[in-house]
Amino acid sequence: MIRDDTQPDDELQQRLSALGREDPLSATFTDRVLAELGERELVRRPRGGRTATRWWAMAAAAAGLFAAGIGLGSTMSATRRSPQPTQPSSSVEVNVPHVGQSEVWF
Amino acid sequence: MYGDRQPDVTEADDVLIDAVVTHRSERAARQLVERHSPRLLAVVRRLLANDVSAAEDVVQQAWVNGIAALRSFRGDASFSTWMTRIAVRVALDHLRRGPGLHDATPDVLAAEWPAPSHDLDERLDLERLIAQLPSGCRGVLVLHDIEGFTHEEIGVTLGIAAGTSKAQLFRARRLLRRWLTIDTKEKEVMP
Repeated sequence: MIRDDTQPDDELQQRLSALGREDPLSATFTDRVLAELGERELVRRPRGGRTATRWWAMAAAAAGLFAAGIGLGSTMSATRRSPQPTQPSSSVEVNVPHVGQSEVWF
Repeated sequence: MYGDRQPDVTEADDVLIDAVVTHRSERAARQLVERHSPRLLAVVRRLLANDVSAAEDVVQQAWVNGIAALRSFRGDASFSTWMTRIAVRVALDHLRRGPGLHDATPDVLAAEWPAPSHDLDERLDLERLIAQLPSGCRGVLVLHDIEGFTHEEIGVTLGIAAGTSKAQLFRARRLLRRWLTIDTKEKEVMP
């Protein structure tokens, strides 16, 4: 009997049908694909945990510097505004003329 | 906005595709890759004669090409079929850079193609026998008899005439039958 090779015989068809249609993915495959899609800017990369932690650390450091700056500024301002106690002069008093006065006397 | 929420694993392909096209959603792209890559890997691995490492590289490139061209996906065929065509084309490019898909001349008679020189157990493994087929007819057999493509679809995908596809399929089946017959005969004489 001559076989008709244009049609799959039952045995061959059965064996071909039994072949798996899917292969398991390796552990890193999906991440590798997504990384390349991200590099090519075909997808947006979500901010990863490490990146978020770094961002928060930078924000905290900036806030700390800001607070320190405010504290220093306040201290300097208070220092400038506080009246300096005048040392009593033991010998000579100098009178500075007020507005409208033209004389200086001792 | 889609990019701000976790997609459901049961989300339909068209929803995920829209999220990737509109928002470049990484999460949606991940769902598509995880959902369709197992099948793409199986097809490409067979086309590449069971070279798993090369198959992964090819499927990765197919995803890059596919996502880049996603706006042109019209839904005429299923997304799975659309991606399979892209993956097959990338696999063909890979083969052309290597030994070549059409390295075996089409007019070589099936009887002239040597049977794989493996031990009996290996030859009984149909996957290995398919991998031993000349790459041209192997591609047609994988796409037609395993993936269910028509000869017209194979012609478009592989860039060959439908008649050539039929001839290659004839050749592939004939070789497989011959090898399987040899296997059976050797099995019968085994102690």
